Amino acid sequence: MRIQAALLARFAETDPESGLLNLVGGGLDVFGLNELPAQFPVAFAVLLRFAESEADRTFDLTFVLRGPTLEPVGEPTSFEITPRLGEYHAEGWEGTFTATGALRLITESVGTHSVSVQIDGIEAGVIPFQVLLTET
Amino acid sequence: MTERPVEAPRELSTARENHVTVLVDFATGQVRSISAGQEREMAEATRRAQQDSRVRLLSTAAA
Repeated sequence: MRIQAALLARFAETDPESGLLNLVGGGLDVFGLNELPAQFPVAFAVLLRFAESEADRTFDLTFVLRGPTLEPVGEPTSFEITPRLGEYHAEGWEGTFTATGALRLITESVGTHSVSVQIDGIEAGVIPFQVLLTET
Repeated sequence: MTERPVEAPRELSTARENHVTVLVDFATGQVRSISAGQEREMAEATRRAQQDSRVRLLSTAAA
């Protein structure tokens, strides 16, 4: 199981009929806030690829929010996924799994932050972002 | 030269039914699964919460 792409976005969903990822404003990596600390949600999308031998196996997907010195912020969050070989799977090729939705972020200071995405406890991807104070 | 009608490609992915929609809350460590058909409501709630908090969404790719 590997991460092909992991993004924050203005809007992200997986279309249930086609399985396609719909993204608007994908790749946002700067948040302008007018006060700190702050909590707010942001859409995300993670596109995963898995080997045929990994189908029907349960994986633990964990998200860890990290602050400017890589310290964990808030609570790590985990959920399980079980990828399956779909209707259009081609023999010998990897399968695809998508996780979309919203991350409720906590920011206590300006600076660089990140969301670490772990698969079975091993970091498989990082979504970096910055927090700035702006006057809006 | 004769033109043949071309059937529009079907937009399908091998990811069909291989997806989850979740709300991940770092404040509580809780994950809530969003049921099918409620994705747009969650997206709208996300947009409203960002507006209420006056969060500006930007990119380092900006010129």
